[in-house]
Amino acid sequence: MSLLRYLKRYSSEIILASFLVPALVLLLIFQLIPTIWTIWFSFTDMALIGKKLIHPSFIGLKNYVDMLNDSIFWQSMKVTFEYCLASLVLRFILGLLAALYLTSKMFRGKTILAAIFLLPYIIPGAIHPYVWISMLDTRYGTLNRILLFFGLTPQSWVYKRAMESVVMINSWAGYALAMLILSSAITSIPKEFYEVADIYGASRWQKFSKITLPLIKYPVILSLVLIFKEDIDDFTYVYMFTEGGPHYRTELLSLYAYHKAFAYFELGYGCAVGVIIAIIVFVLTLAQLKLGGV
Amino acid sequence: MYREKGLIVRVKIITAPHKGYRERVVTDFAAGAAGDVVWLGESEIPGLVEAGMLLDLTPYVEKWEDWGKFYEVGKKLGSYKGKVYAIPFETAPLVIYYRKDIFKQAGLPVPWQPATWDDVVRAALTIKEKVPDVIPFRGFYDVCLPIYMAGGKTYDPTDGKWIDKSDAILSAFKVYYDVFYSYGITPKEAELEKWDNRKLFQEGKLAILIDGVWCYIEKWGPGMTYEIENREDVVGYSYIPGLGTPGAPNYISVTGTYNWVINAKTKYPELAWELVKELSKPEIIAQWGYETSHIVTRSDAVLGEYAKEPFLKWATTVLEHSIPKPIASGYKKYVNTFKRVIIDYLVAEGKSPEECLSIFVNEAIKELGSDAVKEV
Repeated sequence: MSLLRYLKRYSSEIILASFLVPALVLLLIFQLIPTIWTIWFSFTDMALIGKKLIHPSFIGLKNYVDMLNDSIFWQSMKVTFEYCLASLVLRFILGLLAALYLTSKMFRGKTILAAIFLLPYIIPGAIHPYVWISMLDTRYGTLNRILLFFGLTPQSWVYKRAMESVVMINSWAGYALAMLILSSAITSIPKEFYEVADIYGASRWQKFSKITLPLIKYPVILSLVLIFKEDIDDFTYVYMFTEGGPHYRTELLSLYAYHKAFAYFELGYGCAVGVIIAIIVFVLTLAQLKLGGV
Repeated sequence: MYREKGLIVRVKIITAPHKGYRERVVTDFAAGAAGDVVWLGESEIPGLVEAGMLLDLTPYVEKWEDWGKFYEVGKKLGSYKGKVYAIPFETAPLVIYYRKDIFKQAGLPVPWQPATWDDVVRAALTIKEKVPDVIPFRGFYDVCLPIYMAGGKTYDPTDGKWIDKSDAILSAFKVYYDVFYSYGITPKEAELEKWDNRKLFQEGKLAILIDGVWCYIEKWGPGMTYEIENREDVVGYSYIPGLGTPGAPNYISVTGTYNWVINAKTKYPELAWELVKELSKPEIIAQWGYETSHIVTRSDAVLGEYAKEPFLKWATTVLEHSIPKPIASGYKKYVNTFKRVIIDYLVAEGKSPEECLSIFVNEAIKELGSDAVKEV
């Protein structure tokens, strides 16, 4: 087959494929090449300043071996999983509740509330900690005033409850992701299913557990995967609010990688931590998909 | 020079926020994207010099008669291994601020200049007793300051080693222990929960504060975040005294600088140098110092509005007692390690100064490496 005939025969496919080119080029430049560089740097002792910037050495797996003996790395790993797990549960439950509320026929004023629910998600993440700092102040903060009003003990949100505080900020800021995915999924369920259930006298819980939940299984898995993916490399709140403290209790892996690479300028080691984050995301996402039967 | 020749040079100014500035500049240099002339803090100088990123300005300053007018402390902060890499533009030593109204309420003298650290503690204890609603004392902004107050060092430039164990470091831990536990002149929550010292001071809820000279205008000045309306009436200031122990200085302060440096990869070193000279003119430095409450880096820049402002005029004299921050790689690690031991072990857990010293030795070795630290 001559080239001309080949082009003629597959012209529509070629045109369609050409639409992918800009996205692929962007993906290559901004995702693939930096990823390859990151992996390469993780096998070197490259620094952002000093002689090691100009003359880095290939050190094989040394960064990874050092990481095994690095107590702060393991501490970061622990707090990252605590943060992800707590955020996953809170963001998902809040998102699901909001989605159920928005798709329910029982309530009014949903359009306005939908916009209010979305607000934290659309406000830039860098702003959130500033808002919350005044809320969480031990002496004058809104949260402790509410606790006092109910006769409860005020909490040290910035020090003793630092992890709870960042989880709270993250959950408040991010529950709308699950809300958006799940509300659109719930809306797409045919009404007939509920009408039949009503005829048979199904309770609200039975309708939710036997109809809604099974039919939104894949959106649920998708939202869980996306929330987890967002949280495991989360950076903004701990960077802005706690800077990893106190005593590394909020030093998430992403922040640890940042501190290593950009505060101490140990780029090679920071990249190695970044590679570990990527591997964790990859493995756990696969596991989540497998468990969900996707 | 270029002006005389009638040559028009366009300068593109790129600005960046203060938070994350250090990381941004270093990354720009590493990526080869830094400007010809860069505004740089002193702590990045050693690493960038080692990476060959900064132009050696020694031959330029040798021919520049203005160089003799720059204060020594700034010159030291801009030099590395005997060569000049940076022209200091502003410097910012630490001072003691005190609320005159609280002092009067407590029956303490105003103006006040403590002769030793004990005087500061005594004043704070009096305030604790007489004005109990007020936090008596907050320090030290630079965590290592008590080491210098004891006459100690953090770094030995002769062998390039960081000092992890010394009598001065033990004394510093004792100072912190006294502040938080023995005398309780600072509530530990203030440190652990990062209470906003400058706001507390503005509100008259904090009596004595060690902080940078920039607070006077940049924080408490007219139109600023924590403006104090009758600032001149209520804000007093004094030199930071030594510990009063053998070997301790009478007065002490520690300072860093922001400087103009030239990218070693610039295509126009001569032009860049002309720009640096232009930016380092005394009237520009003085105006910047006046607007931001930073101290000028050259003696002939005490002029104009700067010279008329009594605080700035006084604060310039603090430089006589100021020592430069160490200019060496590893400074941030050293300081962060020391800070962590103070906050996480001394303040949070109430560990004794001796225990803290032992923890610090172990942590410093872990962070900096056993070859990079020593005991004196």
